[in-house]
Amino acid sequence: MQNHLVRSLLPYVVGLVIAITLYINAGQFEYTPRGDLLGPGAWPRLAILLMGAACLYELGRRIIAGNRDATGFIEVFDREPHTDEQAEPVYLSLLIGGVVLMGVYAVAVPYLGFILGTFLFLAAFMYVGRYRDHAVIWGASAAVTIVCGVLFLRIAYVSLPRGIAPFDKITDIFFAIPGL
Amino acid sequence: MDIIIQLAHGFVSCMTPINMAMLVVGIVVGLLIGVLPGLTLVMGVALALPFTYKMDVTASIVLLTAMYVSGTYGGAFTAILFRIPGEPIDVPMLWDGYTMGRKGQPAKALGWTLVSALGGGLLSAVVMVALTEPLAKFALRFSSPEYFVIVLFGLLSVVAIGKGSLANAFISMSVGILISSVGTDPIYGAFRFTLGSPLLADGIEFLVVMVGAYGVGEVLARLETGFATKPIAKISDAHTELPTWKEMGEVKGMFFRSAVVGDLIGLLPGAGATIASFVAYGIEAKFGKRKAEMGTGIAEGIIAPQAAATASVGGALVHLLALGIPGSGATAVILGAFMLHGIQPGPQVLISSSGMVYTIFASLFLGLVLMCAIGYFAIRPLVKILDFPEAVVSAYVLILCFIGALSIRNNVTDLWLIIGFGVLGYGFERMKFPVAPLVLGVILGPIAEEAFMNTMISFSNDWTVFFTRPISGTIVAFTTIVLLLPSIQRLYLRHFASPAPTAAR
Repeated sequence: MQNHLVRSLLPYVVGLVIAITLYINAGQFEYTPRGDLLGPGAWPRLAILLMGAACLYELGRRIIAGNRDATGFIEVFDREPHTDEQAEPVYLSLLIGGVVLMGVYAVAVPYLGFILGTFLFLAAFMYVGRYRDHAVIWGASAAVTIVCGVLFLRIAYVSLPRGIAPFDKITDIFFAIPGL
Repeated sequence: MDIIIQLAHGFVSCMTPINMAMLVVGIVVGLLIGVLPGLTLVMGVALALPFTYKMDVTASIVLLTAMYVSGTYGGAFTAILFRIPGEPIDVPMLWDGYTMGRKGQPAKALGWTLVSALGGGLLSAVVMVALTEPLAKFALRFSSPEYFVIVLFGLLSVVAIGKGSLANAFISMSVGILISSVGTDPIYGAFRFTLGSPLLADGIEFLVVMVGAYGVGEVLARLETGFATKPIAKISDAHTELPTWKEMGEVKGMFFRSAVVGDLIGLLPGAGATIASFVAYGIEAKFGKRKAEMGTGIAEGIIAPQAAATASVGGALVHLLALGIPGSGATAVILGAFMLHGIQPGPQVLISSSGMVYTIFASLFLGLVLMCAIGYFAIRPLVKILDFPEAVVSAYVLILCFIGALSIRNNVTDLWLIIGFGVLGYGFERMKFPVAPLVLGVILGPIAEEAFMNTMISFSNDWTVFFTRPISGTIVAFTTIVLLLPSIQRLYLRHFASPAPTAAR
């Protein structure tokens, strides 16, 4: 129970620390004052104060009210019986895998180019998502890559990464395919 | 009379091939988004936003509005047939829609849904046309204090009328405002929270936040569960059976009541289709003629949420177009589309671009009719999309998010930002911080700051001006009432209401 309370307080403690740090930072913006006009930090500081106050309020409420989640306006109208949310299994490894894969895509796409990078990302993401029909995975990856490539590179002329040598050859080949 | 003539011109303008194509695409995509449980309405509209960059502004708004309106309808198919609410809007549809389906009348339930969506939508479209211009004319009297408090009203109503803790919603909104303040300050040219990065000096594009938090964030939330959507039963004869005129006549009063409730809720900045759907069902369950039977599969339990949800669209578009204040996540994205094209919706738009506004109005009328026609004839292929594995659909959604990020400034940093905001959106969802106030804070933050700073400059830092001027004072009073709504509701329930019966299943 105590651990659960500490865990639920943590986001608000972090929020409060961030609010204090940002409040100090907002007072250090460099600018030339104009008469008695409010400075560039005034508006962000209002938002930071609101954030800090909300964090403090929620910390106090949770400590006093025994860590009960607050309900909002809409929940009163909800007649669906709520099952325990933890009943749905959570796979942290999949989540981390997904985030890492997106990071790898962001690193690799300038080198591999949009076509190759996207094709590999799509296939890898489906595997990370525990889908195991290999034919569908590779077929769908190829189809989606081609559709996106045609739509955005050849029709809408969106400037997407072409990649560096030797991978840029794949982009060149894609542009050279007649009929696409 | 002038309004009718302008609307007629709007219909003509809407029937150009490009606008009609966007209308049909928007409706089909909106219906598909509504059907797919992993995709939400706002996420779908946000995903489409980057692709409107190179489009004409009218065509892009027609596309997004069509997606918005049909997204309120598509989810009902899967809620009724498979007990899968495609959208949070469709949760009340499980209580009577699915129950009616289980009693052997799924076609009838779908028929009631279609009629309610069409009727509620058309009624709200009429209200929208009637109210937008007078409201915009009234808004021409606004000066910066009034504009600031109306933006504040929009922001705070999203915070107040939502799900979960009010404090969490405030934190989410503050984070959004802070994100929007990153970059170069518009008055002094000072760098704020830029960490020395030249790219951050240009500010953070709201599109990155929006697509990241809604698109990437929701995919991560689904990935965490291993894309565990239950396999659906095969439905061989999904079709729609329209109710008879006699049946419709029996419920016309409650239909009208629900549509008006939906429209009024839509008119309130901050309250979108989901709230309309729940509140209309709640009112029917509390005060309706057949309140004791609600939840047992009766038509009233289908009409109330569906009519209200679709009716809320017209209401939400009124203050978006007349005041420039989005009332929900979806209208925030539509506001974003206007801003991408350098247009700030508000009273001036009706003067400078009335042709565009009336084309959008006309598109809503046409869109509603088309939506119901497509929903009626193409229900089987539409629900077939559920056969697509969720991992495949999610991978495709991510690629659309990435293309959106890369197309903003052709810079990989935006890709990193979108991933970062995706993780933030996921974290918010996991820790029960609502995402809508964050997105609205990002979009409305700069507008609110500009109005606030202009007021401070014009009135020599006198903040009492917000309370002493008649219009702004009245809006502040309304804002206070809206903020107090959850407390008023709690007090009412504690002292006057008996606990609501749980729906029969």
